[in-house]
Amino acid sequence: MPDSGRSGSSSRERLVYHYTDEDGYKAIASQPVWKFKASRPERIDNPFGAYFTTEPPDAKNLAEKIGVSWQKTRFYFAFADYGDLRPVGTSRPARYQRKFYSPIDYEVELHRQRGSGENPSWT
Amino acid sequence: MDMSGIDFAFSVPEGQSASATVLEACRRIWPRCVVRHAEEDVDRPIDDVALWENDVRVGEFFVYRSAADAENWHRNGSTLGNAAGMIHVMIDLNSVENDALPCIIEVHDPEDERIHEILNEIETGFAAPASN
Repeated sequence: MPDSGRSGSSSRERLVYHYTDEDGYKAIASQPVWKFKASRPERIDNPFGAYFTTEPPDAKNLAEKIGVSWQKTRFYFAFADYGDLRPVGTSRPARYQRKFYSPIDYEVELHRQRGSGENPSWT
Repeated sequence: MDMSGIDFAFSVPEGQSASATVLEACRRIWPRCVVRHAEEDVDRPIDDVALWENDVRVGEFFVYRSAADAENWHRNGSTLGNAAGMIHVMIDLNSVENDALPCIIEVHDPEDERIHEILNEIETGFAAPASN
């Protein structure tokens, strides 16, 4: 059963999100350890990697803020940030630093997982 | 998750309004553009955003080439077909982080001629002496 991206997290914990479509969701959620595969972005010349954001599913104007298609925001995964992801766009002021990536496949074990499911903004 | 967008970072001369400079550049190149604040869900014609032309020290907004482009983005998010129809403006004149520049323009089609013109206009605007 999908659950809230904010559930199970302490008030000080920062969450990181990965958005995907239904096929991506099923593939990642089928394993106890979530594995986000690094790939070459189809759009623009961003680095090879697995991409994440700190913007939650209920963020206003989510697609504009992080540059994603709505089709790819239908499902989400939320997990605790360990501070090990690299920022995209390093010259941004901190308040706008919301895109991150891992240059290699990125695994999230059960104790870091905070929620996943259909984006409530879609329903 | 495929995220589009490339940042162009600008310094803002002391005493100059970053938002006014950006909006004026957009108005010149996209005369029918509309603007949406990042935390609102209302699009405003460029001529209705006089309030933002005051000195906005911290602010985030989107400028769409036209109302149709805005609708396309709201309905589809970022696609190849609408990439040249929006710029994303992020301003934080209070920013003190090392290497961070206070005005970021994120574009999704940097090869588009009109987008290129907007960036040039913004760069020229920030290079010009403040007019007040």
